[in-house]
Amino acid sequence: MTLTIHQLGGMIRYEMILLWRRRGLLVVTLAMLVISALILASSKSRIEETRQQLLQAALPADDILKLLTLSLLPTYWAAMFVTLMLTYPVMLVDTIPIDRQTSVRELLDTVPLTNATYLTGKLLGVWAATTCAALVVMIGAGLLWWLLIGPFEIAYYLEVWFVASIPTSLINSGMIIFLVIGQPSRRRAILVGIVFSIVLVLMMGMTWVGQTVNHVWMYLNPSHPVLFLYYMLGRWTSVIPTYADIPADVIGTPTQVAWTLLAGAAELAALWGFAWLWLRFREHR
Amino acid sequence: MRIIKPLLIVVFLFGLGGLAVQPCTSRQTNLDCALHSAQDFLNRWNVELTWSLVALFGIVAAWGLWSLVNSFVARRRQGTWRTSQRTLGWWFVAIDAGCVALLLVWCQLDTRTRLPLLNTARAVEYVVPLVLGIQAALMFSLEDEPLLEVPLACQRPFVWILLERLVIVLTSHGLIGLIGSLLAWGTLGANGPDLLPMLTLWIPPALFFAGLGIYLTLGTRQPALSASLLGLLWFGMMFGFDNFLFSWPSLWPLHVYLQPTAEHYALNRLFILLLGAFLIFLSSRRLRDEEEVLLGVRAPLFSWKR
Repeated sequence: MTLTIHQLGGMIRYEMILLWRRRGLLVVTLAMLVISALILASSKSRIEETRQQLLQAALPADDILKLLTLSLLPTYWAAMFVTLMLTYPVMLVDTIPIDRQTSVRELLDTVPLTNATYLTGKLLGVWAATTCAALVVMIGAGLLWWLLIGPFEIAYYLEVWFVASIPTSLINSGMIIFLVIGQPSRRRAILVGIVFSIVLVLMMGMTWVGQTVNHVWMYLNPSHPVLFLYYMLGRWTSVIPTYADIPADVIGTPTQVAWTLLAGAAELAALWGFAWLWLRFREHR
Repeated sequence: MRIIKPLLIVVFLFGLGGLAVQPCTSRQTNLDCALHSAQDFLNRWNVELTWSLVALFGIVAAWGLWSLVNSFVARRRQGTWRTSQRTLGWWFVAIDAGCVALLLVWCQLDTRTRLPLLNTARAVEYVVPLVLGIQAALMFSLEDEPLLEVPLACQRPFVWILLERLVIVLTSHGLIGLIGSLLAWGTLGANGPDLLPMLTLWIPPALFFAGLGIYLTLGTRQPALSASLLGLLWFGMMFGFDNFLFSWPSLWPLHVYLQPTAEHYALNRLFILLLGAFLIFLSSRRLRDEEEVLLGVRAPLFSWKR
């Protein structure tokens, strides 16, 4: 047990260092910060107009702060969601295939590292790196928001990051590294990653074609449309009066969000099992 | 990281130019003042600036093309087109053709949802530049090419590997785009736009994404990163840049998917096309440095140790 914990600790540490040194995560983190800055800069005048209108309406200061935050937060959430969905699967996809391409896998076969520890270490290493990247973007974008536009409702902002953005990135990055377990090279793995991203976008597109949120497929859908819709619309129905008219079956509820996250975790566990079985099959072939 | 430095310099120069054009008023914060001044500077000068860049990129692209043609003519028996084709395979071409066909059929059959995305005239524009760009980004990664020392030691110019593959990628995806455009044009008939404007919708973005894909892959040596950034840029340009232009209208030269109704559409298309060609030229120049190709570090221009 102690050996396993040591092995996991080492794998997490070195996987994280490798991911940062490959510069991919760093560049995507910077890209997300730039996107945040562009969204904030381009929304500045619109938010200022909204602020003036709300001040004229003589609303309480708390309500004004909430409404101002929500005049931007859903758009910002959509942009971050799409960025996470399009970039992370392609960027992290070669985490396991690179070991086979550079013959590290053969070396690992000679050491007392079980397949379960290997897969878990890879997953936790990727999770640690993506969580760090997400936290950097969260803090950086929050500071930019405060500096460029002014105060905002921090609780809403943190909720969007901790309940939606970070879990989405963790589930999807985990799914993609196990999906490409059988790929022999980075190039093939990247191709699978691109196809996965395109499939995610298409699945998200299907959300708009008349499906209701309360459907089992919507929970299992790896593009997590329930999360997307909930933080675009459903979460804010109590604050924004005009959202109250939207039918409840297309915007999601907290229970449905929890089900979506659970379904994502179950899919991830199933893929972990598939990857473990595949490694065993390869050993005994 | 090398890409970031020139970008920062350009942003800094625009900011500096902007500050010089419009002095700050006492009511503006420094940041507001800088943003407004840069915007004002761009509003006044962006047509001239774009024409200057078009001229520069055009001269460089013409020179590069001339050198390339001469080089091919002098060593025309040294081509390895079949090997390049085998290396590239048909997967991306099949995906591209399938997606274009699917989208065209979907546009015709969908009468219920009427999504704005389902536009027959823009079907090729949505798919071809993205798939082409991603294949260009993945087709020649120095980290994944086996035995780089061997082609580097040959008499045949090393850059030909890249250019041959690029020609094959551009031709195959170009044919798909052309056939898709003809189908869309035929389907729309008299109600739709002319064929030429439809072609200008996707050819400049396709060359731009190809050039950017190659440039990023050679610069970062990370094809995965390059492909994911292209996907992100495609999405941002396709679905977000129009909104961004409301706040910063002077950035129209950078809009990869500007529509024909825009004021400076022709100049924008020329700029995007030549920017793509310029990026390809820069990428091919990069392969002249053998040390960079093999090790990922540039040979110093001058060293005291010699």
